[in-house]
Amino acid sequence: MRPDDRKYRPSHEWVKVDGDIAYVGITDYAVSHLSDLVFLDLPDIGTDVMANEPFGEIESVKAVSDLYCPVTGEIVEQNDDLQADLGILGKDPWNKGWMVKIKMMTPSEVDGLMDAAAYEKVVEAEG
Amino acid sequence: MSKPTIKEKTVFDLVGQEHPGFAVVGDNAAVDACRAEDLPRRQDNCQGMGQVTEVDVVRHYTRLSTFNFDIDRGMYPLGSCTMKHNPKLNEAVAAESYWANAHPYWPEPYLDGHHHIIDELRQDLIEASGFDQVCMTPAAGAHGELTATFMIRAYHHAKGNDHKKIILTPDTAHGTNPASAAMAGFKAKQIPSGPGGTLRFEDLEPFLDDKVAGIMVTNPNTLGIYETDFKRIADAIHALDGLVYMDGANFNAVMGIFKPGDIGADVMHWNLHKTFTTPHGGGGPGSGPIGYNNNLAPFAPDSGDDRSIGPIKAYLGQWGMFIRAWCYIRSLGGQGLKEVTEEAILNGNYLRKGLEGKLHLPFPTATLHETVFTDKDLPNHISTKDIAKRLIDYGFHPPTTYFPILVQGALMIEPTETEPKHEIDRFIAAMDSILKEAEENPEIVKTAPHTASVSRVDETLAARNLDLRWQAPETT
Amino acid sequence: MRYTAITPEARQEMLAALGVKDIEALLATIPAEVRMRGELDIAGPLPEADLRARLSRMQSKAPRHSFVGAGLYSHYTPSPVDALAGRSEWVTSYTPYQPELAQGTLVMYYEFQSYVAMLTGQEIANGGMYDGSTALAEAVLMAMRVKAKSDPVVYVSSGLHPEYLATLETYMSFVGIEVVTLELDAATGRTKMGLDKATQDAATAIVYQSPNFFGVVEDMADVSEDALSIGVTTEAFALAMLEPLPVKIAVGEFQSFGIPIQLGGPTAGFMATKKSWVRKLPGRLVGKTLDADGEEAYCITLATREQFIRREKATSNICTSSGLMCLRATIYLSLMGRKGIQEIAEKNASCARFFAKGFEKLGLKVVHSGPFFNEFTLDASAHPGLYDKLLKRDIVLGLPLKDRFAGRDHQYLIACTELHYSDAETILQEIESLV
Repeated sequence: MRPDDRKYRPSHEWVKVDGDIAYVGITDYAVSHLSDLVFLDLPDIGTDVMANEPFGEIESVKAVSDLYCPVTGEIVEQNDDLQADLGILGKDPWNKGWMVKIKMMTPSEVDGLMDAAAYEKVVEAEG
Repeated sequence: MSKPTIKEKTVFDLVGQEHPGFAVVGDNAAVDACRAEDLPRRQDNCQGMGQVTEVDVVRHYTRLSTFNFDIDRGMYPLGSCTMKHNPKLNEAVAAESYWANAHPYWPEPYLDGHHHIIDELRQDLIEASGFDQVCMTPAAGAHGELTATFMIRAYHHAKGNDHKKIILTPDTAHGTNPASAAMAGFKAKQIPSGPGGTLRFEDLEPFLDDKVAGIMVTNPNTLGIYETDFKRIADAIHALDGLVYMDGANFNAVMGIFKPGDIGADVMHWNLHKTFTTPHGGGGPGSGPIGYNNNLAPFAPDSGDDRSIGPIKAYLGQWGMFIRAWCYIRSLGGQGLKEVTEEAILNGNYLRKGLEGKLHLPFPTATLHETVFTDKDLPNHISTKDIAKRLIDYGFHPPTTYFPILVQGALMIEPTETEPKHEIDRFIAAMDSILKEAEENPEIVKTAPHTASVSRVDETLAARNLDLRWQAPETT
Repeated sequence: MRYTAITPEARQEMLAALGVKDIEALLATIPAEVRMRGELDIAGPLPEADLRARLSRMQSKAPRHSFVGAGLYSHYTPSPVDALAGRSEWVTSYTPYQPELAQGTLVMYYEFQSYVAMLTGQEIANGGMYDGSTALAEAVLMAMRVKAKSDPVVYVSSGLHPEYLATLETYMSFVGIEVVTLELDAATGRTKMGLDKATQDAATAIVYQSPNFFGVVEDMADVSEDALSIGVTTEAFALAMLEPLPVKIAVGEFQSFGIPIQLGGPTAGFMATKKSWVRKLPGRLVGKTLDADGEEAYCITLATREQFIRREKATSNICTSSGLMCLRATIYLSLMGRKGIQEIAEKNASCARFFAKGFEKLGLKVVHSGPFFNEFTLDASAHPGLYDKLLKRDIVLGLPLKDRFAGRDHQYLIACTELHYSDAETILQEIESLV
């Protein structure tokens, strides 16, 4: 069972809310499928991002995947430690592996996302 | 090929030399008296560049060359790339001074021979394809695609149809197709292939609306399968005033069998380095002339019409490739080109037959010149990559791997018409042996190659620690 | 048939193995109504000696002396270049997708990238472009990716090669970027910037060529340091002598380094820039890494920028590029070395000055006062028939500019290289004798 202190998108991003700030990252399932990660491209601080739109890219040797934003708002911080060492994602995608902090415009958006149990079903279906 | 005893590094590592350099011309005092005192010189004096002897240079590039695999050494069955024998005649002719050293800005009489060759080649391409006209300029296949998608944009613009923004591509398409469409300002939309590996009319239908500018289809497709609904699809696209682009990468399976211009294609590129034996040269140069029908003619780069898209490259095109392609075509003639197609298809099928039942075949449909297998159901988690690398130890270049993308673990094999039966038999036997190893001794497969100049290369490390150029070691 | 490898006996065995009577049976998936009827009407087959005889008959003559440059330069190619680059291992291999079987080609690309970066004074370079003109168009497309929020305009010096400009205009018309030209100063032949810093900095890109099409070396003193400047070099020998251009992206042509002109193609385009923009670069990149035994090895890297992975979101649609031409340039540079190319560059510059002085003695004029490298614009109005007179003797006095540019009716673009160096006095005397 994955952490139930947060919400999920079917494209394997998670969002954890702390006041009006949302932490966004990707799940262990996404990390295991991407393998051999080499580069994380994140938006600059101050960039406005939209829910359900790509906000960045994660790159492995042979593939590039868009990262989809779970919430609408403004980027207030990037995880510099993660940019420097993508290996963190393999060890701790849930805490140290957060990617960006977003100051949410519409915090209620989070309610529409999946909980851990619903996300579990998505992972099972993908096999 | 075996692991070399000499490790050859880069030319910059041939350190400690201060050779005077290759002398091209001796001194001329009268000219040297006119030294360019008015120009400031580079302050770094080109530091970093080496200064080594002729013998070292000759050995360096000769040794490096032996670390390559090439068609002259053996079978190079890279599907979709069409690695066939490159005739020595082509190289000898292309290197002749008259042909090689001509300047496009020389006045006409000096270029008569060149224009004669280009005109003949253009006519031959028209005859082989059924198109009305040919533009020779594009520098490579993808550049031909780009030229054509520009022309498609211009065609719709001239009709006031700027809302036509969608280019459809099947999921078997070369990556260049959607990339070219995007560069021309279109939105590429992907259509799923049917269970037989072809684009079915019923799968296309939901995508058909007024926004469709055209479709890009490789035929035969990248699975080696003829697109049986091609004509019907072309008619439906034309009914929307859309245009049909045929990717000519597989023209090797087309010559003398059908003419794209006669079956509904409006425009197509050739890869002279695939079909017409100009060398692949370690990644080019290519040459990508396009054929098109009269409806697109005003928009061509060299039409002279005010609706022309304009030039897509300086000068006339890849002349050095034209002369080679001309030599190839004249060496064979029309009947010979048809035989090329037939034998490419015979070899493709013979190779497929030899591997059927051994490797998983994702689409049972009959194929022409190439076939895609996969690594599904292989024992001991042996992957396509493992098989590819192990083939190296048996003296073959691996097939194309992991393409087309829709086929998981794809192994795309194209022998071409220039492989003799005994080579294909040897390839099949090698594959049999590797599959046996996969059962009995998987480690040797997973750690292959064992006989190349290097062992398995760490591509992840290359991307993580980018080292893209030589730097002088820091002196302390 | 020549080049196909199947004997009649083998063909029968193969058909039998496939359980079919003839090849026609293998074409069953192709509907009858699309099949071609009749034969291809294409001349041949011609056996080899007959073919070469036909080619010989088609050959017209070549000039004895040509002063035509204008973006493509006649230089001497040392024999080791042809001998080495002609090896099958280079010629008949393909893009190094399987690094274990292509270390030769991969090391070569790494060396090429290094040479381009060193000579342009940039941090990194890619593994080549089709040619200089498409490299420039791709550089501006790259500038759009780097500078997403810029004004949709690119300012281009009128000193840019006219065919490069036309190519750029074509590409730009499909991405909604306006191409605005900057005039040249008629006296010096240098670009007049005329735009304030804010306008320059807001533009998508600013393009200068140096030496420019008319031969004049630009100084770029008025180009803003913060603008996205792109520098074009068509005569690569200028790089060996002159200070690298102060630009963000350097593009151009390495044709001068051991690549025959071949009517303008194929040649070897290049592109170099700063390391932090590497993911915005089009084209192939080769990187150094290790193999499974921990030994030095090379492979294609950052392929995720490329069309075969990123498809419609790729940095370019480029696939096959200019490998064999990059190889020729790389071998050439290694053979000549630092001193070799500097010496040739010096001899080119001296030679151009020798002829410029010679022409001026005959009453002809060098048009621009700005410094030139090995090419200059000559006003021949003092002897209007000279070009044609020389042509009768198979001497081509450069490129007449009258059909390409307004106001340059009697002007000719004259390029001098080491090929004119040893016999410079004799050639000049022959020209003098016709005046």
